[in-house]
Amino acid sequence: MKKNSTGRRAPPDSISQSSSPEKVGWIRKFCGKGFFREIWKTRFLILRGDQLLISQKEVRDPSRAEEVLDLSDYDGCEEVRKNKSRSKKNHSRFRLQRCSSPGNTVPNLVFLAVSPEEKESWINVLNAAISRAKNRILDEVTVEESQLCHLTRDRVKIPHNRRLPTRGHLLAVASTSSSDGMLTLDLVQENPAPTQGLDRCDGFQEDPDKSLPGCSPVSPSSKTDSLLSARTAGPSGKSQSLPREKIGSTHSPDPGSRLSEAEKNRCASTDEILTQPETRTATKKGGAAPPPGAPEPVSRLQELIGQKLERTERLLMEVRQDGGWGGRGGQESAEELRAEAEGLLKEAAAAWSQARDVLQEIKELRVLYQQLDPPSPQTPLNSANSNRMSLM
Amino acid sequence: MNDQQLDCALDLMRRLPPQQIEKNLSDLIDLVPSLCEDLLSSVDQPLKIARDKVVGKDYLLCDYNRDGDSYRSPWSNKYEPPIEDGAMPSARLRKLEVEANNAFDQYRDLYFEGGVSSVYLWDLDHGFAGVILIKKAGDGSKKIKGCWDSIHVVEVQEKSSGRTAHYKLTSTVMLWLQTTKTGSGTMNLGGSLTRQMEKDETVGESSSHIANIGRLVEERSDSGRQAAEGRSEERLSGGTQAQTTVAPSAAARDAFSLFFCFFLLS
Repeated sequence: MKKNSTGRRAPPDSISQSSSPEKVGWIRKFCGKGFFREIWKTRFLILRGDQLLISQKEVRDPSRAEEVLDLSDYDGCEEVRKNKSRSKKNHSRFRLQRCSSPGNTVPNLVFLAVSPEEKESWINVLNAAISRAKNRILDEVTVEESQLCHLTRDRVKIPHNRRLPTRGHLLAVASTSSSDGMLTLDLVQENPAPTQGLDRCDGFQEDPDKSLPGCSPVSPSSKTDSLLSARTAGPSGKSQSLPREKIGSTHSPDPGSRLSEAEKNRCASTDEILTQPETRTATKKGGAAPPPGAPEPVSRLQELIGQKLERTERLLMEVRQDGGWGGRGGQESAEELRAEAEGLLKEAAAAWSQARDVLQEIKELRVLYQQLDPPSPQTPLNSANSNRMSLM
Repeated sequence: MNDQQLDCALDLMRRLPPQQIEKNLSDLIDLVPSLCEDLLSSVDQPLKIARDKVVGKDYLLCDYNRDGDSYRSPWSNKYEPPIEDGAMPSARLRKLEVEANNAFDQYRDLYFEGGVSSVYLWDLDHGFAGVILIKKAGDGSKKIKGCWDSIHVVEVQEKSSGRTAHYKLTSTVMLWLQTTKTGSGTMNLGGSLTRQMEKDETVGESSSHIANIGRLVEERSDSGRQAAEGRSEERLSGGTQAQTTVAPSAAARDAFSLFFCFFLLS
């Protein structure tokens, strides 16, 4: 659907009728009432495209038809039934109903088909053709070339001696226009005081903290990994714009806060995804998961472990019972069953010992978290970090 | 292939909601980084205002005064944030630029009674080119918020005789309108109109380049304003659109034309 060279309309009817006709056949056409009878004449119908062609002979060349009707002048086609007729003859009459729009001079046409089936067929085909003809106007598309060309393309441009903007800058620009359609008018670029630069760096560090939810302590290693990677990803993602800005030391808190806001927004969405509630703002240090968050997952794990223990106990019970029953069945089957039972027992024992180990780990971690609780100097934190990393 | 890509990109930009031009543009550049330069120079973005602390005046930001992430102020002729080797106009052209800025400052004051304007020029082989930016925000009074951005890019080809020059002007007018009234509801209208014209003019004492350009801009602005008015009305009444990309969200047909007129006259 590309640009046309000139304003072009849909092809006129005479050309479009080059397709093969949809239906042809003999039919009887109602041509008026005489004194004593109705006058019906035999005619040959050709339905092609949006036109109905009527002729007296079976003509191959549709252009030699005697009557040519444009189907868009008609509303529809329906059968004609005589209500009072008690005759057992099958009714094969149908009428082509004209449009009642002013200026329409075509008459209603009534036809008598060869059989009821033919009548149905004609009715369906004519109705389809009429709706197609009526929709033809909507399918016309007029496009002028001049409307589609981009005037700004051949505008004079600045010669190639400028640097392209960094991606961070484009994103910053994009984020300064509000979504309600009203533009934020100011992209303020001022020279900030050095302290403000520090604020920005701090804002930076906060973001990775916020981006890491208080995830389950069972996977502390993955958490610290992601913490580290987030920290490194952050600065490197902005490495291009950061040095630039630092050279001039000229970025105000506004775009800075906007940038970190954009960052925060992204971090907030990862928060949502991981559905972790934000407890309190993390400190600027190691960024450990806040302790109040820890007991929750711990209790959940304990529940799960309890459930597993129950299940293994149940299995053991079943095995014992089965063993008892199987004993009555016979020696061979008893041996099989015993082997099965042994296998099940081993599995159960393994699962139980695993669960016990996990519980032990959790208890240790809980102790560590409780150590973190009072806001103490960095050493417990660092030891916590190192502990966690050793648990890997 | 690149040509076709650029065409498609520009087609897209014309059809996406104009309220998100910057975001759409940055997303497009993400998609096709090789088209970054072409896109930045062919897609008109809403103008942003910055403050020149040295001189204490506002100036407008666009792609034409940008180098890297910094923008050049027409008052102090310095980049902010400062960079080394920023693209600069030649000394002779800078002189013309200063005059142009002053001239269009007055033009803006007379026609818009407020707002911010900036002119940036750059050298070409046989002449020069420039962009004239004007931004005017509505009073923001009560429930009507509006903003007008006009971007006139002019290319001046000086004939060898030096007494005539060929001017080619491409003007883009962007209009943003937002109303919230109980009678008409909320309406958020935004769009832009671009037109081109070319003319040969004599250059001399009485008709300097600036005067010629000013006359062209004046001619263009007025018909631009009328066209914008007409197009917006047409659009709301369901008419066809010619060279416009106006994308209304909620229609407030009866109130709109009234607001529009008041806004422009204010």
